Amino acid sequence: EAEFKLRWGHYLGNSKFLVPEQNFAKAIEERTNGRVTIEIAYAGALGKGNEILTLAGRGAIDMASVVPGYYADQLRFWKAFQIPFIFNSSKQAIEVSIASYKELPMFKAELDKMNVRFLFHQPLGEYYLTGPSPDCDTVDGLKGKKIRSFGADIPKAQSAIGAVPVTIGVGDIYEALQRGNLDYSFINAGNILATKIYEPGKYSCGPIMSIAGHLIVIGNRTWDRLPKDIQDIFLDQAAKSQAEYIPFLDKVESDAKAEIEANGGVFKPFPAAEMAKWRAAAPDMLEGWVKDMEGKGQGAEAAQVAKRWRELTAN
Amino acid sequence: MQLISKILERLALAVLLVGGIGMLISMFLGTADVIGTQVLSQPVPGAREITESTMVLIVFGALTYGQIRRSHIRVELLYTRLPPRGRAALDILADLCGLLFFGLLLWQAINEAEFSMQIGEATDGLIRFPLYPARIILATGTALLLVRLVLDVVVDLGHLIAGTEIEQRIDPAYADLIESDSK
Amino acid sequence: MLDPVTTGFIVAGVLFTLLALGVHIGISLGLGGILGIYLAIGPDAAWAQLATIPFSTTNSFDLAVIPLFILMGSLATQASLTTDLYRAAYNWLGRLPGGLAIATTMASAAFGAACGSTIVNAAIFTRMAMPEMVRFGYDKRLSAGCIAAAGTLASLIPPSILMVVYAIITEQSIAQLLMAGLLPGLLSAAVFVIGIVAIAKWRPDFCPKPDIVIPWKERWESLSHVWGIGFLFVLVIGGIYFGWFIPTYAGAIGAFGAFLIVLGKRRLSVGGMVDTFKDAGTTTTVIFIIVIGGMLFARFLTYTGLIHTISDGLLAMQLSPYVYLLAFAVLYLILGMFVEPIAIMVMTLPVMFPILVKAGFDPIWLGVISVKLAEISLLTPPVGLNVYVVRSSSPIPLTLEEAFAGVTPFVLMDLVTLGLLIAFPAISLFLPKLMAY
Ligand code: NA
Ligand code: NA
Repeated sequence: EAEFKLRWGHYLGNSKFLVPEQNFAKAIEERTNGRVTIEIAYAGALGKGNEILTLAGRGAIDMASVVPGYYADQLRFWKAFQIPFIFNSSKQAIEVSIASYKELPMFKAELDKMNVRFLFHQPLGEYYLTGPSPDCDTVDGLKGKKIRSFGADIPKAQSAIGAVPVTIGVGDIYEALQRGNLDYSFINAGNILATKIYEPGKYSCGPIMSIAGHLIVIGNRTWDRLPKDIQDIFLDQAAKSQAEYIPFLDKVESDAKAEIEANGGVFKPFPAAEMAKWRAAAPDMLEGWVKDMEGKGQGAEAAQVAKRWRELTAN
Repeated sequence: MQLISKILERLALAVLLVGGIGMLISMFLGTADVIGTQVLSQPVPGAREITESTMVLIVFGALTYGQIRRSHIRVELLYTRLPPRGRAALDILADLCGLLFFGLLLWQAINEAEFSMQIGEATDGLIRFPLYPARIILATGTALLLVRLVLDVVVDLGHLIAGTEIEQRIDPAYADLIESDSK
Repeated sequence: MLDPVTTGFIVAGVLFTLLALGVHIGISLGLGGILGIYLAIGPDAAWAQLATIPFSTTNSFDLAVIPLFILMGSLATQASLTTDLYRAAYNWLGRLPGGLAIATTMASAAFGAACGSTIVNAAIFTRMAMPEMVRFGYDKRLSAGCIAAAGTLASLIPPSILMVVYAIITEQSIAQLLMAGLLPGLLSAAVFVIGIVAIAKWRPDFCPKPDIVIPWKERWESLSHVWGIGFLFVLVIGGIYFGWFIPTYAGAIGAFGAFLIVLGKRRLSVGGMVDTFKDAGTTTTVIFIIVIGGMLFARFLTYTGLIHTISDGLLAMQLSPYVYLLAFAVLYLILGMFVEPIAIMVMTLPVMFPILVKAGFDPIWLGVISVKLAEISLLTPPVGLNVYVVRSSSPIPLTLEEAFAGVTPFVLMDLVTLGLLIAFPAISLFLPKLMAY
C-alpha cells in the first residue's frame, strides 16, 4: 500500500501523445519504491479543462495538466507561451519556458496565487496550414481564405494578411474542409494524422507557428505533504521528463508526417521570405501582450519578460 | 409571510422571463452566426459566449420558479401512498435536503463569484467576454431558491401539524403542463 | 478517509434512502456525491468540486442545445402545429382499421420532428386526440395507451433531449446520436401501426370505424397546413445530416424556424411567449439540476475507482456480450419502474457504458438502445411518467389502472422493436455512418 496516492486530472483523453506524462508517473512510482503512486484520470473525469487548476489548488486533485488559455486571467504570464510568431520552434518555446521559470519570478508567483507548483511544460508540434488547394505557401495565396483559428492572438495574425479566421474545434475541421466551410486547417502534424484531415486537404504548408502547450502542475497542499526526499525526486524527474518530451514530440510529429505522406498527403515548406512577410504584416504580438498587461497593472513585469524573451529568441 | 411569498413569486417569475428573453437572444444570435459564417464569411462575434452565459441565467434563473411549481422530479412510490401528514413530513425532508445542498452550493458559488470579480475573469478569444456576471447570477439564483425553501419548510410544517393537504401533486414533474391543459 | 468500498456502501445506502423518501433526484445524487467525496477524499475535495461543477456544467455551449430544443418544441406548440398535424392525419387515416389510433401515432411521430420531449407530446395529444377517439366509440384504455406510447416517439426522432443527455454523459457525437434515432423512431411508429391494425382486426369493437366521410377537398386542404413541420424537419434534421451547423446551432435555427411559423400563423402573443418561457425554463432547470447532481456523483465514482473495480470484476467473468447487454436492459427496466429516464441515464451510464463498450458494442448504437429502454420505462408501472401525464391531462375520467392496462400491448410492441434494433444494428447506424467520415 502506497504512502501517497496521487490523482492527476487530465482534460485530454488517453492517447499516445501523452506517453511522456505517463512515463513521469511511472518513473515517480519506481524511484520512490512505490511510496508514491500516481493515477491519471483522463478526459476530464475528475474535472474539465476549466476546472482542474482550481481543483488542484484547493486540494481536490493532486496534479493537473492545465491549458493557460482556460485560465486567461489567472495565468496571464504563462498564457504568453501560446502567442504566435514568438518562437521559431517547439524546442525553443520550451527552452524559453525553462529559462523563464528559473530567472523570472512572476511565473512562479502566478502559480503560487493559484496554490500550485510548476513541474514541466508540454511542447506542442508545429502548426501547418492544411487544405485542398496547394496555394498555401505564399502570403498572397492566403488572402480571403477561411483559416481555422483559436484563442485571442492567432485571429489577429491571420487577419493581418487578409485571411478570415474561423474559430472551430479540432474535431470539426474534417467536415468543414470537406464542405468548403474552411479553406485551410491550422493544427500540428500529429493532429492532422489523428483527425485524417489530409483526406479532404491534401496539401499542408508550414511550419507556420510554434507555441507551447499545457502545464503539468502539482497542488501546493499535496506538495507540502511530501517529504523532502520525495520532493527532490519530483523535481529531478520533472526536469528529466521535460528534456525527454521534446525528442519524443519530434519523433511523433515526423512519424506522423511520414504516415500522412504515405497516405497521399503533400507537405510544402512555407518559404522563409514569405514567413518574414507575414511576420512583418502582423502586429508585434509580444508588444500587444505587454500593452494588455499594462492595463492590468503588470506592465513593468511584462516588459521585463518580453525583453528577456526577445534576447532568448534572437538567434 | 403571505406577502413575502407573493413578492418572491413575482421575483422568481421575473428572473425566469429574463432568462426566456436570453433564450430568444441566443436563438437569434445562433441563427445569425450560422448565416454569417456560411453565407457572408463574417461570424457574429461573441455569439458563443453570450449563449453560454445565458445558459446559467436560464438554469439558475428558473430554479426558484421551478420550486414554486414543485417541478423537481422525485420518486413518488412511497409519497403517493402516504396520508397528508406523512406527505408533509416527506416534503419537509425534501425541503431540508434542498436547503443543505443548495446552501453548500451557494457558499461555494459566492467564493467563486468574488474571486472572478476580483480578477476580472473573462473568456480567452477574439472578444474577451466577462464571466463574472454569470457567476453572480448563479449565486443570486441559488440564494433566491434558499429563501423559497425556507418558506416551504414553514408552510409544510403547518400542514404537518394541521394534517391538511397542500395542493394537488399528482405529477409534480410536469405540473405546469397539466395545469395549462386543464384550463 | 474511508476506503472506497465502505464509502460506496454508505453512499449507496444514503442515496437510496433519500430517493425512496421522495427527495428530488438531482439533490439526492448531489448530496450522495458530496458525502462520498467527503468521506473518501476529504472535505476540501468535496467543496472544491461543488464550487466548479455547477458553473462548468451550465456555462456550456454544447448543453445549450437542450433549452433551445425545448424552446423549439414550445414554440411549435404555440404555433398549433399539433392541431394541424392531427387534423391532417385524422382526415387521411381515420377510416382505416384502428384509423384514429394510427392517426394519433403518425401525428405524434411527425410532431416528434419539432419536439424533443415525450412528456410534451403525450400531454398535447391527450388533450386533442383523447376526446375525439372516445367520441367515435374507441375503447378509452386503448386510446390512452396509444397516446402515451406514441408520445415516446419524440425521444428517438430528432431533436431529442434524451439523446443529447446520453451524448454528454458518454462523450459521443451529439450530431451522430441525433441522426441515429431517426430510423429507429420511424420503425417504432411502424410497429405501433401494425400492432394497432392487428388489435383492430382482433377486437373491432375497440375501434369502430367512424361513420363520417371526409370530402377529398377537405383532405387536401388539411394537408396544406402541415408544411410547418416539413420545414422544421428539413431545417433541423437536414442541417445536422448535411453538416450545415453543429447541434447547438441546429437548436437555435430550429427554434428560429418555429418562431417564424408562430409569426407566419399570426399566433405570436405576450401571453403565449410567457407560457413558452415558463415551460422551457422550468423543464431546463429540472434537467440541469439532475445533470449537476449526477456529475457530482460521477466524480465521486471516479475518485474511488469503483467504476474500474465493478467493470473489471464484471468483465473478468468473460460472459457473452449479450449477457452484459441483458443485464443493462434489466437494470434499466427495474430502475425505470421508479425513476425518470434522464436520472436513470445519469445514474447507470458512468458504470455501464465502459463495460458495454469494452464488451464490443457500438457507442452510438448503445445510445439508441438506451433511449428505447428509457421510452419503455416511461410506460411501465408503477412510475410511468407518460402514463401519468395522459391520465392527469385526460379530459375524460380515467383511472391509472385503465391507463396502464391500455399501454400494455404497446409495451409489448416496443419490446419487438427493441429486439429488431438489437438484431439489426444497421437500422441505428446506417445514417450516422453515412454522415460520418
Ligand atoms: Na424529437
Ligand atoms: Na416506468
